[in-house]
Amino acid sequence: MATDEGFGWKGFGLGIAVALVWGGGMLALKLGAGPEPVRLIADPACDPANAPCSVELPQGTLSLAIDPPGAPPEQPLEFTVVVPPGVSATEVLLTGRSMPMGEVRVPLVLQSAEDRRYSGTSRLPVCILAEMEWGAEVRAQPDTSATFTVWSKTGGVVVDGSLVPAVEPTYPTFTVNTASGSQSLADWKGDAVVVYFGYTSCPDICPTTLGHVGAAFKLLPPELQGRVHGVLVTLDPERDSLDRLASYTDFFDPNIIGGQIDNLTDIAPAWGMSWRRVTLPDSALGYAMDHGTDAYLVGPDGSFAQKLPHGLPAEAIKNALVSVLQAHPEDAEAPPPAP
Amino acid sequence: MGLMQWMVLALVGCGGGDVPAPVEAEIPSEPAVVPVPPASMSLSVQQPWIRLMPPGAPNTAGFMVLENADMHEHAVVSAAADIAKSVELHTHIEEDGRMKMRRLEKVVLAPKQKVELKEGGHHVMFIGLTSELTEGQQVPVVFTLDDGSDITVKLPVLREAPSQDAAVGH
Repeated sequence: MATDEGFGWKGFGLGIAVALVWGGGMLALKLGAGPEPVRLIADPACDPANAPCSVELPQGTLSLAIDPPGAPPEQPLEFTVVVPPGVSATEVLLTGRSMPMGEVRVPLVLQSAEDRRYSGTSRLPVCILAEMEWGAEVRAQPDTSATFTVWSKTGGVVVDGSLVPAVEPTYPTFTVNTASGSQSLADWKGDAVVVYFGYTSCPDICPTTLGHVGAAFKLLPPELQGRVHGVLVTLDPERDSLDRLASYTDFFDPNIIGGQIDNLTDIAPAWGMSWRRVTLPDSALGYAMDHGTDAYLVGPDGSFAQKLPHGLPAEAIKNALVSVLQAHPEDAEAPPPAP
Repeated sequence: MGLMQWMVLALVGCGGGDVPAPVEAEIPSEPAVVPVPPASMSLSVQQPWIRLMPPGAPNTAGFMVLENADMHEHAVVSAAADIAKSVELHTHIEEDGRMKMRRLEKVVLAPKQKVELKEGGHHVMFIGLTSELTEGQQVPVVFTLDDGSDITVKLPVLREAPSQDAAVGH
């Protein structure tokens, strides 16, 4: 929450944001043919509530920073704008995007003529969502507007690390360590496998999906029931002990196992999973995992067959299982079911 | 805020329309004279349930439909129950195919509106379960509203959401 350290003013000139130009005002300005309005939109991936963000005006770099980090609602927020020579900042206009929240105007006052630094203070109205998206439009003279995207976070949610991004999926095989030993995905060749990444502190999304998978296994015709497996790979090995994972997955179906994998940060992204750990300072939960919610179906040939999106009913999962198993009857231990 | 509206509403509602006008003028600073109905009186709850979790799972979630029957905005600001160390209001936000769980400060109930606490959305989060729940068990949960009034709801422990049909007999 430190005002000075957190901002790193010396570094902003590197131009961390990509600016898109609205309208064609820049050339006219450079030629002095009468100042036409400049309308810029900052890279929405840069949130001035995390670090200063900037856009390139014809006159140079304009930057916006908001303190404290996370722009929590109902607290005084300091908006700091630094402009290039020849530009004077007037105000920041905040507009709620996640839901209609009206407008908040933050008048800007020149703090340092030498640094061309302006600041103003305001507070955002109460959020009922944990995170709210705002547009922060910096207005300046000559007629200039630069709009930034700000996420206001109740309780100052802290993202502990950058999102582990999904890469082009290759669905590599892996070995999961469970309370009853290790299991390689490759050893299940000939059977169908549902792979899911989650964590046991998750009270809703994960149990819903695993509940549907367990129910789908029970809907299978008896001759196929021995040819399906589920595996929960924990994204939260810090809290999910092997014992806890075992009792968790047993609840849904004995054919679902839960465990940890050693090279999670390599394997999970290669299955198309992206996730991150976020600290929730306002919650007794401590931290949560933002994570992808798809499950992945692997066919008897050991290759990825299809995604099973969150919320897919048990019946549909059963049908997908039957489909991949019947596509590979040669792998069957039992004869294929009679038509 | 809203006190005068409440007074007028209460007077009209109880007095049948023939309200003596001077009452408000005489006692503007004594709200206790005209009792303000607690927000909990306007709140009803349908289809409550709490998820049966695997043994050893640290947390669970509760769901229901909250309905605000009156013309004023209310909010559920907290919840409490014996079964967990902490009870919080949470929500899920889906972003780029990822689900993010965050704490809610409150659940706002707009006038004459229903708010669903449902799977994949708003929910009551029970953090640090202190005992194993059993299917069918009734868990009393106390919800506190923004005017300080509260309402106790019994949430049955279920494996999955009750079917819509079950609500018909409610």
